[in-house]
Amino acid sequence: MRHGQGFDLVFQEWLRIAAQPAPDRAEPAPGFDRYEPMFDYQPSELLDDPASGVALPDLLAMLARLATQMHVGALKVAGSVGRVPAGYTYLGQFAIHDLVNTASFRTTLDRNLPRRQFGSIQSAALDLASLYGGGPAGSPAFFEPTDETEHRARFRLGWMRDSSGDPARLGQPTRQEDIPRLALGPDVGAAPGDKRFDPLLADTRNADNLMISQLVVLMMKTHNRLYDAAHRLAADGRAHSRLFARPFEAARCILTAIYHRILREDFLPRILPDAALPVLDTPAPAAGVRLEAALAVLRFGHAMVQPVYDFSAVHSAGGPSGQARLERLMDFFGMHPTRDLPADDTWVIDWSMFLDPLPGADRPVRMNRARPFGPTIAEPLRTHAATRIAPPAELPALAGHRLGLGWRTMAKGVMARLPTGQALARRLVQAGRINAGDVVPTDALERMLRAGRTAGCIGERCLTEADIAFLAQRSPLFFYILAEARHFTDGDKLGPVGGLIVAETFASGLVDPGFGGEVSLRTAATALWQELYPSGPAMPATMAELVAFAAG
Amino acid sequence: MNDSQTNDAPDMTGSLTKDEVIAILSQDYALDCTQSDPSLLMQVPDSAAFARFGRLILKMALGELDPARVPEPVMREVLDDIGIPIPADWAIRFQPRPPKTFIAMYPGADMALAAICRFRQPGGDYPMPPQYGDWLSGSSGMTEEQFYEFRVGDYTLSYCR
Repeated sequence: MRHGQGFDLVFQEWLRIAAQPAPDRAEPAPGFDRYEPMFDYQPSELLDDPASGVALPDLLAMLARLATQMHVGALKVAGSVGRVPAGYTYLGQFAIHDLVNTASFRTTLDRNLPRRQFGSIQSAALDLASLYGGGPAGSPAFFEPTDETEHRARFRLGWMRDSSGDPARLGQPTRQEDIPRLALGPDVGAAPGDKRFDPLLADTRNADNLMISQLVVLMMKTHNRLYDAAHRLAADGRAHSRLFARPFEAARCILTAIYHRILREDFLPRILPDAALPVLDTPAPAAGVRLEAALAVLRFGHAMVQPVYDFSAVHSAGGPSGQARLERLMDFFGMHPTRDLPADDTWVIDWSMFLDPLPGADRPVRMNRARPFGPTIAEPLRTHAATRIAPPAELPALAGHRLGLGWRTMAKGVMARLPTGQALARRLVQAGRINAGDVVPTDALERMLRAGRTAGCIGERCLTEADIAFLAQRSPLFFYILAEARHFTDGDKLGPVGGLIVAETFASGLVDPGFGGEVSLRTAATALWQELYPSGPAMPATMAELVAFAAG
Repeated sequence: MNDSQTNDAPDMTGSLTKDEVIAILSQDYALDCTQSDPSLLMQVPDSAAFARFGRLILKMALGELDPARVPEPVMREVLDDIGIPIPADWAIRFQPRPPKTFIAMYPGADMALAAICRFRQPGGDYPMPPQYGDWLSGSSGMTEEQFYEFRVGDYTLSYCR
């Protein structure tokens, strides 16, 4: 299911509950009580505290104006390029999908699920469940059947069509460089003439855009390469480690260890402030994923997304098609009409445009960088069919607003009864987790909110002075962690509160789970790798090294 | 120049007859796409900029905004705010269309070459802003007037890109 599915229905139910007298809406909306908050907040610490003087409909309208301002603020070109190579936006998206699922519609697991413990009961470990699903036994459709037996162990990949211009190959599927996609039609129960494609992935959120689905292809190809090597070694009788008795599991072990290493050593140091880095080495075992992380903090990646990318040789500023617009890249999800599916091979991603080069390699002519961390969100995340929301009829103050991902995220925060950013920061100061100087001053927030009223607000409803006065004191947590990043790091990294929560959440997810009776997954993977590749290459520790390995 | 060239070379001077104009229009372009430079085609990162630019243009057209009163640095910053990056070494000009005059400002040869040649290379396709598809499918969320502003911005900005 794609992002935001079912939001409208949950929102309708929540509005009904929210309209009741205050005692009946003390609890979070159904579906938003799965995660435990970090603290036991007082009503005055919550953004939707009735005593704040702002009624709920007015608060939601104010959030609509704030979200509008965040979206139009992203139009401004000056300062729209940050430090982090854009590939990490999508590694982050992939990892957070692996950690968190707040989808409104859940499985039967919900019936007996204790409240507020989903974050620790759900696999909050970064174990690639979003890639492997139930494995070949539980999710056979994701794996290739073999000719000899039903034994499945390699990921099924999709095909891209030839675009070379060679008449003998034109339009033929020649390159296995896409995720598998199910063409809809009568054979699979869809209507005749349905031209859509259903992504065949364990977590369909990983087909949200072509960058993340190409990352999935990268992981799948790596697994397949590892499996092939492990299978050959075992079949030839040359394997020493007993762990090669199950080559599929050996490949999964190695890929998971590579993934952990890249997250810990390549991704997180790029986005975390220095003060948060030691947290990665001292995880609180019971932490899991908390409410504040799931519903606000882990959504920092929304602010990293750019509206256009240099994607490949053809789809880049120097190529015949020009840069690829985000809307078009999001259309590759497949369930909206697009002329780009089935894909042709001009859409194979050029990772050199998204990642730092390997040491010693030439820097590419073009490399995309993520937006700097700050309170702006690319406009296509407001207008694309996947992210836009029709203003609810029950809230006339929202009529005429174009609502999208920014508003939906903050409205979910209200439904989940999140604290304000200021309240959470103060709690963390009281708990000795951050310093008093790590709270963003009110006047700094006021300046940022006021400066956000750019010429991009033409024809839109941006914040009023009254809104600014309120929000500078009581900021939605999602806005606050982006604003603190801009305030404390000039957008280079996350700030104190966001950095701490991201570090804690990832530290918990990166706890070494062991493997196959071995105490340490990492140790087991290293031993397996050395047996597979005694003469090198070294096990990848960065995204660029992973790309090089997968390419063979 | 030899005798055969004297007979075959087209006359590049003097007025064209209507038949000669039609004959030129009927032929394919004479392109050397090896000389094409796609980087000349100005990229507007976000097509949401077009609607705001359209409003700017219409304000000028209606006399509510006099571009002569806007210093170039201010205009450059406004344009940047609304998502239109003007390269630092480009000048900025806004000019009214004189009445009862048909004016068509056509792009330079290098830009036209780059724009057309992209369609003759594998994978080259037209960079259509998504608003057109959304409008036709009824899902744009824009009013008629908003779509008009978007169109004004697009065709004023795009100069045959």
